[in-house]
Amino acid sequence: MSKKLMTVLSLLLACVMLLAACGGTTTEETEGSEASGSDDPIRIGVVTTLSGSNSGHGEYCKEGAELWKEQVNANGGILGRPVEIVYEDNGETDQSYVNAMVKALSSDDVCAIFSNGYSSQVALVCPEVENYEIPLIAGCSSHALIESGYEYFWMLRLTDQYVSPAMVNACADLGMTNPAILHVSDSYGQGMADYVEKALLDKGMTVALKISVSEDESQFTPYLTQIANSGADGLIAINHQDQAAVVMMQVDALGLDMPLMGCSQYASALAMDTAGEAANGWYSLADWTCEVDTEEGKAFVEAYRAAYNRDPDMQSVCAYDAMQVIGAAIERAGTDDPKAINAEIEKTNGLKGAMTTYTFNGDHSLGTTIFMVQTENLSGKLTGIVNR
Amino acid sequence: MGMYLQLLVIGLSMGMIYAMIAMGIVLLIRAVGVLNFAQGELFMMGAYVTFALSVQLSMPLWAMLIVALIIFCLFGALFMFSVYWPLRKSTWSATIIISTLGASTVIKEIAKIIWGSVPVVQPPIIKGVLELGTVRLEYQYLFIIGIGLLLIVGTFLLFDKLYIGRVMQAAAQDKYSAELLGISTVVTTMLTYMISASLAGIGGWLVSPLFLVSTSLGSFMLKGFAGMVIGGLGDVKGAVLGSLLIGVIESFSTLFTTTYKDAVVFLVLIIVLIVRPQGFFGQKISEKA
Repeated sequence: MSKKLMTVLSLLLACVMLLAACGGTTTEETEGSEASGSDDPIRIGVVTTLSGSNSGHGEYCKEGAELWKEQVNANGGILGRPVEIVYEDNGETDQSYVNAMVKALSSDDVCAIFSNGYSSQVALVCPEVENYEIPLIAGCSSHALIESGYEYFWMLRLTDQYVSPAMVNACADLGMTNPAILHVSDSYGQGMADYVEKALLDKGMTVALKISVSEDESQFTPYLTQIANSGADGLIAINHQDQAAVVMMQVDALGLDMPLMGCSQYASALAMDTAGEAANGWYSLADWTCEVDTEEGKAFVEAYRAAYNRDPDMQSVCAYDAMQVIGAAIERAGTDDPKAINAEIEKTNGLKGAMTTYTFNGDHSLGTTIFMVQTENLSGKLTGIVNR
Repeated sequence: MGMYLQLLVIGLSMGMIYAMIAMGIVLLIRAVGVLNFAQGELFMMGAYVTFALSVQLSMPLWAMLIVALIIFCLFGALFMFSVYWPLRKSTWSATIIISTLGASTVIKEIAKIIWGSVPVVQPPIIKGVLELGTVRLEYQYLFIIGIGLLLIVGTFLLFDKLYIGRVMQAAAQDKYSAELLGISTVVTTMLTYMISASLAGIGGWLVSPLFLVSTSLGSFMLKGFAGMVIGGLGDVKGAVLGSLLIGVIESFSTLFTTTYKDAVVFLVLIIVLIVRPQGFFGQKISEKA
């Protein structure tokens, strides 16, 4: 009997010691964390397309984020802690995008998130971002998202509202007086097309034809035929990268002879690589060109080429710069608390990124400049810089 | 006027593409009574296979066409023996249809494994534009119409004039009697699958320079299916005419709506089904009974 009692007591004692040991370790780790800054990594989420037909976007995005992480960690991390990036694949559909974003938001210790999702997708998750109170920096450009007034949502680039007048001025310089607009019908394309149309009319120009196409459209020749017969003296095209490549190919095949102006996606490496020679001659107001003339931009291009043996795309530089904005906010906040980081993002002022300089100008669109480029030999040649 | 002619040419050429898909589906319906939901993926494979041969292996056009046709035929035979043949005696009639649905997913995933999920570019078969006054017609579209006509005429000749075609038709109509006459229904069914896969594959090759080569090409089957239903389920002539009609409607609908042109096509399909459920060339179900 006493032997049994001894056994039970021994087991109980072992359990108590085990629990105590566990508790002790936690305490020690916490104390260590406070004392030395800890080796616990600062975790930043990246939600991008890593599978499906648009996985090329995600590859560029991931490369940009990884390049920043390697550079930061090589210099001792942030607040003395290493940086870790948590990737979530947003797949090909809106539903998979929402799922990926919710997963990222609910991950332990993620202090901020970057996403290169489309505006229409980002709009779906903004309410959830507000609920979790974790800052989201997005690579999209729909001004409607800014007008929604979300506290934790930030846009890295200039919005359509700021880009459109500059685009119209550039079109006027190319001799357009009555251009046609071909645009994708999602919130990005519709929003930008409306701003462009308004800017054209404000400038005393007319719109020969305004054609809206669905996101999965790939047969543009009937539309281009109508544009060719509409009396238009130029084409303004607003599409996503994969569609932009097909538009450029079909414009080339049809031999459409007029000045061609595309949105920033037309100058993306993905669109140019896919379209090949058909991309040559297109003008674009682009967020990114490898011909960038700032020190930060040149250093990024050099480091990227050395790391990945190819030119960076807009997706790469967006991820790289978004990480810089988040990293700088964490440094200023002195903590990886999401609320503190969000408050510091609002204090971003004159942060020189590879793509542009980032400043909080009263709204949540942080970019300040955009490039005017013309594609030559599958490369965007810089022809000017437009300020906000 | 020039614009309408251009839109007509574009519509007819796309109609030819839909017709190639629709003919392949109809041939299989007539031969084995199965609606093949993987026909779009066979079409997509045509684009990928010709891309691999012409771009990745740099084959000249003539060699590429010969090798591609051999691959299409082999693929058709493989498709039959893996998707149809083992299930042909199933007591549940939907078994084979579900099998083709599964096959469509498998083929799509195989394409992704081999060529990746990022779309690839097929160079134009014929580059350039034919200018007739203000009318500009791309040679690629005219080429599609030409090849499409050849294939349609060839298919009609095969089944109406040639002995082998009649043998295939006989086997399709009454397998038991055909077997008694010494006709191997395995061979005739396999030949039908080969022709069906080849029609789809050539369609994929023709359309691939106009669009990017990607797994989304499989969605062309919907238009081919609509053409087949409008023409009359199970009728090759109807499938061709229905598909051409779909192509022309789709092209001209862009004059009125751009975002919803696909909706217009399927609206026409619904109207036809309401007004003439058997399609333009199909028999009424009551007549068949």
